[in-house]
Order: sequence, then structure tokens, then C-alpha cells
Amino acid sequence: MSNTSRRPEKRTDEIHEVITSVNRYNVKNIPLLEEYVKSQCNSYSASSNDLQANLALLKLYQFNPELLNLDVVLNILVKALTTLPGNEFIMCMYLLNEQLLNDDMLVKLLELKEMLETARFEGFWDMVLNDPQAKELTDGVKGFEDSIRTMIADTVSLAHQSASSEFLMAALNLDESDLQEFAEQQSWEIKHDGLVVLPLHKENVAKSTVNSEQVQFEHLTKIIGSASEI
Amino acid sequence: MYQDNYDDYNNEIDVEAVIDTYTGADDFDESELQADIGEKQFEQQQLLQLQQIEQKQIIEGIKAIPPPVCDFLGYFCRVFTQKNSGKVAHIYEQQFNKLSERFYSKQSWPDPRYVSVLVNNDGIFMILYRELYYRHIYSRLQVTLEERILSFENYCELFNYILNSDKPLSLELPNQWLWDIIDEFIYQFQTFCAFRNNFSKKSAQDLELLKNSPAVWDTISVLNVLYSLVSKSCITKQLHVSLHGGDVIEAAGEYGSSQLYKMLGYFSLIGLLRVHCMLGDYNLALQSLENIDLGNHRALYTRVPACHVTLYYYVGFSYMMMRRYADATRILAAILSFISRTRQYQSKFFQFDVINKKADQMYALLAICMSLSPSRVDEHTHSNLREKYGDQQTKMQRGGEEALTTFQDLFLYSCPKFINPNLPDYDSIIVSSAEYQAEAATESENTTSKKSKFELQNYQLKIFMNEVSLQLIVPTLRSFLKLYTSMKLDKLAAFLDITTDELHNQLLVYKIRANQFKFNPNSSSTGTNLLDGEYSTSTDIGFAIDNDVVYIAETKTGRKYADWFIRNSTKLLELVSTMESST
Repeated sequence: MSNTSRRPEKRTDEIHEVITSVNRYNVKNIPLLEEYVKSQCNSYSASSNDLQANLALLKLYQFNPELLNLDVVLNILVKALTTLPGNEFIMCMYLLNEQLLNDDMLVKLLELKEMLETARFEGFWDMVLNDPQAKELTDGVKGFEDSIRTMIADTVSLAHQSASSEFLMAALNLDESDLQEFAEQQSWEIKHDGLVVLPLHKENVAKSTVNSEQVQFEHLTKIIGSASEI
Repeated sequence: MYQDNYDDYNNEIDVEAVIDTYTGADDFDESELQADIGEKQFEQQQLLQLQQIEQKQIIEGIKAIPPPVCDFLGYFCRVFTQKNSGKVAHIYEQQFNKLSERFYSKQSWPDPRYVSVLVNNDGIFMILYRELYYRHIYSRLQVTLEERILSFENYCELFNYILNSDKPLSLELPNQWLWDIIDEFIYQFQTFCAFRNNFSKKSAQDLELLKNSPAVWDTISVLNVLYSLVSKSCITKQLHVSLHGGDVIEAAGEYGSSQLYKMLGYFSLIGLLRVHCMLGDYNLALQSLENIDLGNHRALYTRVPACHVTLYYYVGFSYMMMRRYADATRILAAILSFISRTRQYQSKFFQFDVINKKADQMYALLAICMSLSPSRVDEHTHSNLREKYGDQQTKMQRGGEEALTTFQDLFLYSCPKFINPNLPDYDSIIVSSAEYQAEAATESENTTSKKSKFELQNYQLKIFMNEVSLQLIVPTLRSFLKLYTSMKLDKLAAFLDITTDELHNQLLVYKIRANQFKFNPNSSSTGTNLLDGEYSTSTDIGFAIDNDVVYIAETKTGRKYADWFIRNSTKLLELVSTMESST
């Protein structure tokens, strides 16, 4: 997952200038930043999400509520959904306000978010594919489904060494042949009995460790200092 | 006492003489007046009369000032104009507060108009006196709308004086005072935001006045002051250079080399942290501190205890809101251990109470963070925490409705005051408040004002609590996982009295929640940017699901022998040296 404070490749110098200076409070920059949100949504990759720029736009909305464009806000949030379980989504939420929470679309979006965060992936896919409002929301972001799929795969691989293919198909919303293809991309191995073996890494190996104490040299300076006095 | 220092000071203040020079300066051009006829002459007479009344008032006002305070003010002004920074610091930190306690615990300090005549000064000293005057009113008395506005105007005057000077001012003020100026400026801004959004008990005149002065305590102007102080002092560049090497003096420039500008700029960075936090922009809040190294024990913020505490409080709070509980815990534990270690020195500071209150709030934040992401803090802080919030911690870990209300209570107790950056719609309020008065519907008025007052607090709380509620299953699950090293999923589900699917789901949630973005002080790539970090699991229970079996392993912390040894050898060292010195 990308570092939130670093500059994404797609950010132009003009936008970088705006959001790193006091110019970020200038309402004249709203169209520029809105356009940038659109270009993030048109890009397929989840890493195109530029949190810093989007927060700057939300801040302009916060200071100038009459200029708030709800569609753009929703786009920002849907895009941020693809970066879960990171904290980008809530950081955007903190800049909104109580009134916005009454909006139907936003309520729907929060439902989607909650399903992802509580690992109810089947319910999530059901909603994205069958609920017209949810469909409308996510259609605005190119490659939304693929980004979410990768995200779910990452989550599953945090906890699993192996999982049944039925579970994975449901969680990722893939049929058997698609799963095969997806597994290859992720270098997962599908066994004959339908069990999918995931590569091991730090997080999905249960290893008990004892954190032993580490003493920094500077903590000893006083003792060494007084020892030399004796 | 300070009286000892007065030896060379003439205690007799010739009030009349002072008045003469004062009014003389304000004398209007008589020739112009004489050009006009009768009417004008009448006006002039009136003016003179008014002036006489005013003069009388001033004389009366000055006479009403208790003699010790008179002496003190004269001494203060003299020491100040002589630029005796040591004495100024002493006056600021000790004497002013002692006199406030003695004479002005229930009323304001002498009116600046009288003081200006008394000390025969109308320059920067008076701006600073007014700053103290209003700050004292804010801290002890009921503040009127006029005083709020006047205080704001005084701040504008002060900052204009500092920022618009052609060359750096040769003014030097104690760090504590400079910090207090920035701190108070933001505090008054925050109370004004709350004030203008609270419509109960406001008279029609007050509303009208508020409506007609939209620029007063305007959010953008407040931010503008802080940003201007930052850029004037080149503080960002200075800090960058001092971290990464380079020519410090060149980076500081003309203004940044002066203590006044440098420290104001530095404190403004922390001021920005606070303002952004109050606006719910935690990302920008932490970004303001980009070049401040929190690991440096001799950093500038350590020079003023209140600044040190404020900095850590807002950083800790921001981390908590950003779901970086491990980072928040680390920051809060560090400052709390610092506060308790330095308690004996701090009791001497006049802001001891403020620091204590903040510390208590930070223990509450720490209790929240540690319930959400269990981790270890040092022994001493841990036992303090148990003592203060042990019950609440148990409740929060137990889960259920009670846990949620406990989280909520602790949050509301320890969160900063959030602000609405925009002006309310005064017109509709003026209309509706007139209606209210007509209907005398006091009850409903109270509820609406309460609602608007807590709305912002509630919004931030709501978003935060939503995160918390996702996590409520974690403690129970954790306590069960702790008991085993490997277990069939269906068997564990039976113990927990849930279905296997439900358990599987909870395990995934556990992993998601444990995986936090974390600052790594040892990583070379992260540097000092507080927003940096990497994802890692922060939990003492690791587990892995292998199809239908879950393997569990616990991470333990070994005993800290070396820490114990180091602490006790230092203790012994001190003991020996006190024994030697007493013999």
C-alpha cells in the first residue's frame, strides 16, 4: 500500500504547487482539483488515489459549503474505498458534516464500506451488482471491481495459509475459471481437492516470539560516566 | 519580592503632568476650528468638556489602581523598554500572576487607557499589556462580545506590528510568553467560534454586531496569521536544515535569526497542528509538523512545558482519529511518562493545573487506544492508567452497549473542541430569535442551542465511534485465542457460541483491524514526517488459518532487566551524592 504523504506520479506540478502552499485555501482552485478527481477515477489503478489533493478539495468545500459538489465528494469516497483497510476513507469523512450524512447515496456508500470492513464480502458484491444506487456510485470509478478484488485478496492472505475455493469464489466474486486466472496472478496454488494454498509471509505464519529488551547506548552514558569517576 | 528592585524608581507619579502631555498630543487643530462659526465653537466647548470629563475619569481611574500595582506597572514598563529580558521573564511568569491573584481574582486588570497614561507609553508595551489584560479577563471573568472583538483587534495590531516591520524588531520576549500569545490567540478564536454558533441568551444588538463584523475571528485570517509567522521566520527551512545539514544562518535569513520571529514561527507550526485538528483535518495537522523531530529530547518545544504537552496531545489525538492506535499509544505514553517524571519541577510553573488537566485527558485517550489496540507501555504509566481508568478499560474490553457508552464518554471528555470555520446565517437567526422571544418558547430554544453546540463534537464522535464499533468483537475473540495454539475452526466457534462462518468472519476482521499503518522510527526511509509509516500487525496474538484449522501464537515481551538495572543504579548514584554532600 502506498505511502500517504508521498507525491503520486500522476500529480502535476501545478496541483502539487497548490496543495503544498497556502494556495490550497483559494476557491479558484476548486475546478482544478475537481478535474483531478475525475482523472483519478478514470485511472484503473488503486494507487492513483491522491489523498492529499482530495483532502485539499474537501477542505475547500468545508470552508465554502455553498460550492460543495456532492457528486465529486462521492467520487472521492468511492475511490477511497479501494484503499481500504487503510485510513484514507475516514480521513475524508472527518471533513464532511452532519447534514451530508442524510444523503441517500452517502448512506449507501457507508453501507458498502461497512461490509468491506466487517469482511462481509458476499453481501458487498451482492449490493454492488444488484443495488441500482450502489451500481451508480461505483460505476463512476474505473476498475473499481478489480481494485476491490485485489484488496480483498490482500486481506484474505493476511489471515490464510490455505482456503477453500468456494470461499474464495464468493469473497472475490469470481467463477471457477476466473479464480484460476486470478490465482495465477497472485501466485496462489489450486490443489485438486479445491483447496487453494497461499504463499507464506510474515503475517500468515503464527510464530511465537519473545521481544527481548534492547538497550540503547545513550541510556548507559550516565552509568559509564560515573563508573569512570570511581 | 519585586519591591526590592525599585530602589532607583521614583514612586511618586505626577498624574496631572502625565495627563497634560497625553492630551496635548491629541490636541486638535485650532485654526481649522476657528474658521467655522458658532455651532462649531459650541462643539468645541462640548469637546473640551468631554475631554475634561475624560481627564477626570483617567485621573480617577489611575487613583483607583492599588499602589503596589501602580509601582509594578511602572517597573514592568521600564524593564521592558530597557530590554532586560531576564527581569521581563520573571515579571511575566511570577509577579504578574501573584498580583492577579492578590488584586484581580474577581475583576479585570486596570483599564489599558489608564495604564497607558500611567506609564506614559503607547507603543508595543501597551499592545502587550492589552494582550495580558484580555487574557486575564478570558481566564477569570465573563467575556463580553465587545471585549472579544477588542481583543481580536489587539491581536491584529500586535501581529501587524511584528509582521509588517521593515526590518526585524529588536524586541525580545520570554519563550513562555510567545507560546502563550499563540496559544491564547487560538483559544480565543475557538471560544469565539463556539460563541457565535450559540444563539441562546444573545441580545438582538449582539446578533446585529456579530452580523456586521464578519471579519472578526475569521478562520482564514487566523490561519493567515499563523502561516505568515511561519513563512516570515523561514522556520520550515531552518528546521529542515538543522535536521538534514546545511547552513542554519543562511536558512534562517534576516528575520528567522531573531529569537522573536523564530519562536513565533515555531509555535505557529504547533498552532497550525491545533487549528487543523479542531477542523477535523488530521492529515494536515500532522503535516504541519513535517520537520519537527519528536524523538529529539532537546527540541525547541521542550523549552516551554505547556507547548511540549500541547504538541503531544494533538499529535496523539490525530493519530487516534486516523486509526493509528499504536502510534497514538506510543506518543501519549511518552508524554505521560515525561509529565510524571518531571512533576516535581512543574509544580512550580503557573500552568501546572492546565498541564494536569491535559494529562488526565491524555490518560483517557490512552485508555481508548489501548483498548482498541492492546500494547504495552512502561510500568509507571500503566499503573497510573489502571488507577485512573481501570474500570473504564475493563468495560471497554468487555464489549456490548456498555463498552460503546464508555468509549463515548471518554472521547467527549478528552477530545479537543471542534470548530465550524464558517459564519452562521445570522439573518435567519435574528428572525427566529425574535420569534422565540415573541413566543417565549424558552424550552425549545435551549434544545436548539445545545444541539448546535455539540453538533460538531458529535459528528467527529460519530465517525470515530463507527470505527470503534467495527472493533468490538476483537477483545472477546482475543481472550479465547490466547488459550490455544491450534484449534479446529468449528470447535472454536462452538466455544464462542457462534457459527463457523461467523467465526471465520470475525477472524478476518481481527486481522484487518490489527493491521495498522505505523510510524517506524528506525526506518531510514520514513525520516521525521509523522504521516509516514508502513503497514504492520500490531497485536500480541498472531494467527493463521490453514483451511479449517487456526494456528495461534503469542508474542511476549521479555522482562526488562537492563531497564531495571539502569534505573536503580541512577537512583543509587543520586543517593550516594546526596549523602556525600550532606556530610
